[in-house]
Parts: sequence; C-alpha cells; structure tokens
Amino acid sequence: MKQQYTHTKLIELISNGGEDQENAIRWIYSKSGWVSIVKKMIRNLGGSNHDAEDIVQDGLINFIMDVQKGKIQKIEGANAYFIRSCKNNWLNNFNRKLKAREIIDREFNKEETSINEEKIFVSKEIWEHLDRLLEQIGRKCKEVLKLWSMGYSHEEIAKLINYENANVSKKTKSLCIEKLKNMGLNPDDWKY
Amino acid sequence: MTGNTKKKMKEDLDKLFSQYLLGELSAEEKLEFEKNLENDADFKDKFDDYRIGMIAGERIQYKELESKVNSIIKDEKERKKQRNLKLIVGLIILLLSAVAIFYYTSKENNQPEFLYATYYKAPPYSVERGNSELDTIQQMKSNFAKTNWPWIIEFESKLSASQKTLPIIQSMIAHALLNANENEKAISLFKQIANNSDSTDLADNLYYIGLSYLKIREIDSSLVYLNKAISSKSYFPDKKDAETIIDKLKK
Repeated sequence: MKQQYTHTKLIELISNGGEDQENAIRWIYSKSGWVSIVKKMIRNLGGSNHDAEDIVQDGLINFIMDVQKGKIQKIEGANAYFIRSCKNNWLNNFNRKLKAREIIDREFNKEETSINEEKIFVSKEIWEHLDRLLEQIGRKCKEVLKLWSMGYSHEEIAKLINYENANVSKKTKSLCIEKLKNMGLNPDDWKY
Repeated sequence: MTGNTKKKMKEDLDKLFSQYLLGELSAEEKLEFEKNLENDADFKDKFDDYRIGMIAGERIQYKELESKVNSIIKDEKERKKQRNLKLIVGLIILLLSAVAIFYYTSKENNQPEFLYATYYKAPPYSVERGNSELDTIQQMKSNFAKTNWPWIIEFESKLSASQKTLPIIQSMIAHALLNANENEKAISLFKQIANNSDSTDLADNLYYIGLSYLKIREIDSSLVYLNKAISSKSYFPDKKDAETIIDKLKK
C-alpha cells in the first residue's frame, strides 16, 4: 500500500536528519506524486526531461534546507510549497538564460555590457569558485560554518563536534571566515 | 561595556543581520541599518563576515544535501529500473505461458479423439406410430434417443433377417456399436451400409466411417473416407465439418 505522510510528520522526519530524512526524501521522490506533477509542469513550461530532473533535484535540496531553516513550519501544504518553489526555480533559470542570451547578442553587436549583467552571466563560475575555496578550508571549518548557518548556537556546536567550549567554536568560525576572506571570497558577488 | 552586554550585542547583531537579509526590518529600521553600513566601517565588516559565514555555511549544507539527494535519486531510479525489469520479465513469462497454453490447446484441439468428440453427432431419429414392423423400429429409435446403446446391440439378435437388412436399423446398430466402443464392428457395418447406400445418404455413411477411423486414430483411413464423403455427389449437410476436420488433421 502507498504510504502517506502528514505534513507535520514529513517536516518532523526531515528535521530529524539522518535515516528519517533519507526516508522522507525517498518518499517525496518516489511515492508522494509531487515529482511527477513538477516534471509535467516543467515540460508544459517548455523544459526538457533533463531540465525537469534538474529542477526536481534542486527543488528537493531547497525544500529540505527550507524545512531545516524553519521556513515551512508556518505553511500548511508542504506539497504546494515544493511545487511552487520548483516552478519559481524554473522561471528564474529561464529568465537567467534569457538574460544571458540578450548579453551574448549585445556582445555580438559590440554594445556595452553592465557590471550587473556580467554578474548574472558568470554566476555559475562564482559558485564553482566558492566550492573550490570551501575545499581548502578543512573539515572542522566546514562543520562549524554549516552548523552555525543552520542556526545552532556555539554551545550546541561545541557539544556536537567535541570542542572544549563555545568560545572555541566561536573562534574557529571567525578564523574560517577570515580564511575565506583572504582567499578572495567577496560577499557582494551574491545577493546575500 | 560588560562581557555580558558585549555578548548580547553580538547575538543581537547576528539577529539584526538575519532580519535585514530576510527583509523583516521596518522601512525605518532598514534605513538606519543602511546608514550604519555606509558610515560605520566596523559594522560593515561584521555584516560582511556574517554574509561570508552564511554563504559558506549554506553552500556546505547545499553540497552535502546535493550529494545525499543525488545518491537517493540514483538509488530510487535503480530500484524503479529493477521493478520495471521484474515487471517486464513477468509479462514476458505471462506472454510465453499464454502462447504455450494456446499452442498446447490448439494442438490438443487437433488431436483425433478431440476432433471425433467435437464433430461426431449421432443422427436424430424421430419416433413415430406405425405398423408392427415399424413398431420395432420405433422401439429402437426410442432407445436410440435415450442413448441406450447396450439395449440396441442386444436387440439385434431379436430382429428377423429381413429387418436386419433395413438401412435404418443397420445404421442405428452401427452407431450403437460405435458409441459402445465396438469400433471395428461399427466400421465394418458402416462400410456395409455405404456399399448398399443410395445416392442420398452415401456421403453421410462415408463421413461416419471417416469419424470412426478418427476415433481409433487411424488418420490416413479417416482422411480417405472424409475426402470420399466430400467428393461424393450425394447430399451432404456435414460437408463443412468434414472439411474442417481434414484441415485440422493436416495441421
């Protein structure tokens, strides 16, 4: 029989992390029926099967991150949230591609390109640059930054990764940010 | 400033930065925040640090989740593939079984015994009132209708010599013998009837000889008599059946 999760149960499983989270992802992907709705919607919006797969994968990741950030607690229908966020993601991608094409056309016609447009155009490279930087900062840095960005307090982080106290966690975080800054990470490259 | 106040301020700053980035500040608060960014270098540094930390932390989260989701999706696709494969194998097995059953049944349907059971029908003799000689025939007809084959075979000994030569009586006895599994005797009697048949019922008698041979699995002989029945010029209501039997026997 097809297993069904209530909205609350699903949010709870995702928030629990670990195996519960994996089961929730499996359920969303294979049994919820949400994915087939999204795929159909993307195809209707002019996307290919491959585009639809990418959007679903991205949608799943963003959905989980939003649950972890507590964004979805207030929303009634998790399915509606997932589907809407996939749709928005596709439309944003579509607009980005459209913009990129405009820039290429303009470049071809030897017209000037604004800095902002270039930023949009090279956004993929920026992410790749960030990934390369993150590979160099070490496992502990990554763990501290991840937990801190998820909203854990330094006391909690210290407990989770066996630091002596919260100060060690706080200090580590500052050092890691300093390291990234020195490696050339510029927050103005992101909308953040 | 005490240590506690500093700590509180730092915590408040993180909260303030988050509220600003999420667009949760009022228009007034937002204006003040942006003024601070422009005029206070330390505030700007702290805000940049906050953003760097958040960008990095969320990217790390994203990459970890990406690899988790990717592996789950890959796994689920593989499972789906396996399920589909099992379904296809199941369907193929089902299809092959259906074909095998069909082949076996159609082969079974072409077996001589099956053909005999399907196509052999004893002729219907209607019971009428009549003279004493005819009364004997009526009795036989009545028992024939009741498929009382032993009675008919036994009754033969009580018949007079002239009665025994009547084609209708011979025919009833031949059918009774055939139905009582005295096949050789039945064939011999059918042949005798056929030799004396007039043109009206020759084909019928040849057809019954053919069916009798079918019953004892003598297919070649059966084919000879069925073909003879078809090519005979007499009235032959079962011609279509005879043709079908020949066709199936050839298969």
